[in-house]
Amino acid sequence: MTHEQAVRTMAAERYLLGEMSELERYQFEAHYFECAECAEDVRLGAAIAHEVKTDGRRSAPARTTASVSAARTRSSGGGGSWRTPANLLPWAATAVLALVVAYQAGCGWR
Amino acid sequence: LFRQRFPFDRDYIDRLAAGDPEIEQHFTRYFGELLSIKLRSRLRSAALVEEVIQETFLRLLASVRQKKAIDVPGGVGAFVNAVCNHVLFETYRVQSRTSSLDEDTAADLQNLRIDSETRLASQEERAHVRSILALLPDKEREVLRWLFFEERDKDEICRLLGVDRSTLRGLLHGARQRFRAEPVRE
Repeated sequence: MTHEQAVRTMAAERYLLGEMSELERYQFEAHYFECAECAEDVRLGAAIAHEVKTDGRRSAPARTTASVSAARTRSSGGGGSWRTPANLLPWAATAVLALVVAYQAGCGWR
Repeated sequence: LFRQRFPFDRDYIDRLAAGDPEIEQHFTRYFGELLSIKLRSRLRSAALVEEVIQETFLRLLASVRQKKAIDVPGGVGAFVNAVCNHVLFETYRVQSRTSSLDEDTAADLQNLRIDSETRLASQEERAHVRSILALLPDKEREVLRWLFFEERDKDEICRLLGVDRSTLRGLLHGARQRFRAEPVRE
């Protein structure tokens, strides 16, 4: 891997995010052990990840609960799209039920 | 911070071979960090990571002192990486022959993990990283937390945020750039 390839493909970020195949990881390692600039990118990214983890360990119980519930709220429509299966299913069931009731009522009127 | 202070030239290698303490310290610190990053994603325990790093350094320093290797000064990093790969493959072979760890041993090794991770940066560097993280918008900090602490599935994170993978890479890239732009506070 050349330095240009590493920069263009955001290799340091992909490496730290675990998005590389094993072969690509070995190729990038062969590069960054030789390239001071890419080594710095990797070290800095790893330091950021490490501090995020350390902070997470410190405040794990309270914040995990809060962030998970926040994520659940978002995924169930609180802050993002409301068109999720979980939201649409009750509406669909209600609509079908309403049609059935209307049909039956119509039959009864005849 | 995070800068290579010495060029890996002939003088560096000669001083390393002669046992110059300053160069030895730089060599083991600089490459110790890189080896730790490389190995932590491949080995199951911090103790094993540390073992492979130590064995790699033992072999490297023995080679340098016997003047058997590193003939090309620019190739120091490649040599370190190659020796580490050899030690790593030997470790894989040994590991595949040994039985799995009992729970107590696994817990002890897990406790060692933080000690091994301190290879990554000095206290001063870590304090600077923390100050930069504190400057990030809450949302970005939260996503970094999902990525590196909660280790959530990245596709799930992308779905939640309505973004693609390149946005996650951009987030990490941006945090790093901010670190470079922000002066170190004494």
